[in-house]
Amino acid sequence: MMGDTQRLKISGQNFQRLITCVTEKDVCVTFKVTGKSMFPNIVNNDILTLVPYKDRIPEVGDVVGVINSDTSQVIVHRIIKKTDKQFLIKGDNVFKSDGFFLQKSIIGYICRIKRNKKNILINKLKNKRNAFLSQLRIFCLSKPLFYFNIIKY
Amino acid sequence: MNIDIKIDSIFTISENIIAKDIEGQFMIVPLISGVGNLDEEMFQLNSTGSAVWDMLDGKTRLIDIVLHLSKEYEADHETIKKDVIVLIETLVEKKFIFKVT
Repeated sequence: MMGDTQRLKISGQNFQRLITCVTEKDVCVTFKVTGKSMFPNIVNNDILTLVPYKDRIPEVGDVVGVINSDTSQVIVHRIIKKTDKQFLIKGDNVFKSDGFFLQKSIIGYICRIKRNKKNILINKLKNKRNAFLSQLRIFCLSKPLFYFNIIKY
Repeated sequence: MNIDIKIDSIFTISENIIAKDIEGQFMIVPLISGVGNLDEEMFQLNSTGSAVWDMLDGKTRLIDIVLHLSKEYEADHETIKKDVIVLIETLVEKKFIFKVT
């Protein structure tokens, strides 16, 4: 047996190397995410499509794939602030930001979210609103309310 | 899918894939409508498989690949031939490679 198609699991640094290799060729890429840091906008097992920044400059509100230089892993979080050369990245559902990143660390932006075989639309207006709410930590604060609603019904 | 693979056939690699060796794991990512799928469609080759892949240059016949590998790995010619054909069938079926002649 020389090849294997069994649902290959690739994560961490190897995933970062592979996704970088694909995006460097200006090719879009789809992948599955795990974690809760972008809840409720991105949830566990969502399938995301990432587009490399080619002619576009990253904007506040964009959900982006960023390489964390400390861990060499890819994180998918939102740009909530922009300075001359750097971008402040934060997960919607976490209080602390990931810090400022240079554009070279940003591998692309999320253009599509697929959840339970349905596509969720992303638009600039929604992104800008979510960046504002993320800065205010609204998504973190709304968590108890969300749970309350589930219990209530 | 019925694929006619003869031992003197020549194959070459499709342009619609991205292949990368990551710490000894040779990964093939198909580009479906220009999008690389890192979720479901990835394919991995072991060291023998990647040695075959390196020789799919649009010039080398399968028989030459088999002979080269038999020599390199000091393995039984028939076993290598069978394994190479199975791999080629899979790669053709996945449209990672196509037949030149």
